[in-house]
Amino acid sequence: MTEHDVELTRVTKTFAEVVAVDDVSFGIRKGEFFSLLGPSGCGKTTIMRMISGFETPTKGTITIAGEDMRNRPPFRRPTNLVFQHLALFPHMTVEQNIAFGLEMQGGSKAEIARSVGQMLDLIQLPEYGKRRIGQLSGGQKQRVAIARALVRQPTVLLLDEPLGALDLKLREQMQLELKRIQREVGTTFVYVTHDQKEAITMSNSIAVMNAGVIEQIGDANEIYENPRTAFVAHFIGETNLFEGKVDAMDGGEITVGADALAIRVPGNGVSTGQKVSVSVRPEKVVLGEAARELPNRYDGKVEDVIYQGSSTSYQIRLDGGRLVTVMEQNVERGEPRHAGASVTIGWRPDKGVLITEGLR
Amino acid sequence: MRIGRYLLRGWALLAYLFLFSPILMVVLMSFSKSKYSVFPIRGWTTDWYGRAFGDQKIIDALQTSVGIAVVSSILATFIGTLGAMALVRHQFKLRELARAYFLSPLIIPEIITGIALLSMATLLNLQSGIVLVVIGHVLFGLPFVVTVVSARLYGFDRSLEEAAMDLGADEVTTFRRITLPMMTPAILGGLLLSFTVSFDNFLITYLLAGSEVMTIPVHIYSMIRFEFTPKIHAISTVIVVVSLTLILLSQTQTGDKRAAAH
Repeated sequence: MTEHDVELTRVTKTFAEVVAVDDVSFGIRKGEFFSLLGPSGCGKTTIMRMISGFETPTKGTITIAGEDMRNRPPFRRPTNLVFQHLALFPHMTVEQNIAFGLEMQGGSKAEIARSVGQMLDLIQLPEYGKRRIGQLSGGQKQRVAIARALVRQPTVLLLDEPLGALDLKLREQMQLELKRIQREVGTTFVYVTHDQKEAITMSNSIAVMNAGVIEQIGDANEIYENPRTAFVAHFIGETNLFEGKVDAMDGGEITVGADALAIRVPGNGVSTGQKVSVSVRPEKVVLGEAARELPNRYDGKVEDVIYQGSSTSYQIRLDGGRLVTVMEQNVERGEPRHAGASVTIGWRPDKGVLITEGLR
Repeated sequence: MRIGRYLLRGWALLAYLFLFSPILMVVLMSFSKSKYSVFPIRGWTTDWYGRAFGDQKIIDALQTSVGIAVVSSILATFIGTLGAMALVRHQFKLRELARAYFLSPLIIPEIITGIALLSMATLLNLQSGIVLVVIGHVLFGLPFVVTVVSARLYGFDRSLEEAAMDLGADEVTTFRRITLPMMTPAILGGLLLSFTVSFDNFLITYLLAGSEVMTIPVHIYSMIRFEFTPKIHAISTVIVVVSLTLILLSQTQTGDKRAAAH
């Protein structure tokens, strides 16, 4: 038994001249909800299609449950796929759709009927077996597609942005539903999405992809709090990214000169004059009184106020000209600051993250 | 606004009248008592139908026509479906040329295609007769089959086939369980259209049939030349009804709502 259900080793995929996936290696643990997250064209769908067997890696190997998948067609792999546009068979009923994968395996009619029944229960549509696909709502089709893919009890279930076509409310409902189904069946899920919120809410592990490479793999908390590259810092949530170079080092703390600001941030293994960036999340910056004693402290003016009820987002123009986004929780009842007001902002050095990779 | 709408309707009515009044006349005359085509009609009868179907030569010609249409429409549908698959699914050199070739019988004047077939037959030492007629009819059925089937193939969601393979179906099973059933309405539509094309064809048949083969359109033509009888109106009406029915049927097939189901 290997620890990983899916293992990619130095996988590269080129289409004509275009490198879609560039020397990618990673493993997906058994029973994990693993997300491939990235903007469109980053190679996440290509990776998924290589795992399911619809594309062949130009270089590198893919193993699933310890077996090399080289030269294995999709219909002989222990994976199943929920397609982006679902691809339910319109000329079959719900039951026939779900039974299709079992019929291909062979097995008695009674067994198949029992499994289909279990699946219909799992997706909470027990009465819908005889319906035609055209008679289902968007959310129901979604569930049927998931049931059809799960009925073969694949080692890995791949999902290609399956919630993309749904409206926001249904989408959130289906996210919970998917989590529930995954908990119940315990199958490894590989989820492809460009929606960072979706990835954060649902995944145990997230691989952030950009331009054919994996920028960072980690759980949601790690990726949000310790982004390793500028791309990850930007793509996951909002951030203030200060680009500059190392001015001074003092034990575990360094001073970065960026946009005429001196920013103190914890950091090791860098040298004076090296190009670096500092990422500071908007909610980690404090305003007014609270900022007074902080080492990283700057004066500026409120330029824009976006009141959001539980919090307020401010655009602060620092005296040096740099614009900083600050998110303040509305703990006190009362009015937010007004545009044009002078304000001091600041943050503790350890609230910032030093970024040395993937700088632009 | 209102006047405009009435004018439009009137115009549409005139256009339909122009298109269908000759056929309407044939239908009316087939029920006329008079032996001659006179108007207004003085009395009504269905005798001519009885006499037409009592005429062994007409029955023979009908049988020949149906036989040829069955064989050539099946052949045209088989070849045309495969052709459409190749045209839509595969990238190859001269694809556009191949498409134009399949559609050429629609564009090149029929008489020229007919003469071309005749010279080919001479070259290959092929006797004029039923085989040659079938070849000609297949040729004319092809563009219809190719058009109808490729239209459906263009709208075909390839991920359905991928889904089947992902669920354990090999290529052959995928074709049998997914591609073919989804294509069936279009294939049936092509079959019905090519059947009609064959059943109605006169010119190619006339050129290629020789003296042995007598299809119903050719027989009607020879009947007109010898002696005119309202039996011709009766049998013509039957042909019109059969043709229209087949075309309407093919339309319901190709306009199938299941295509839009997902």
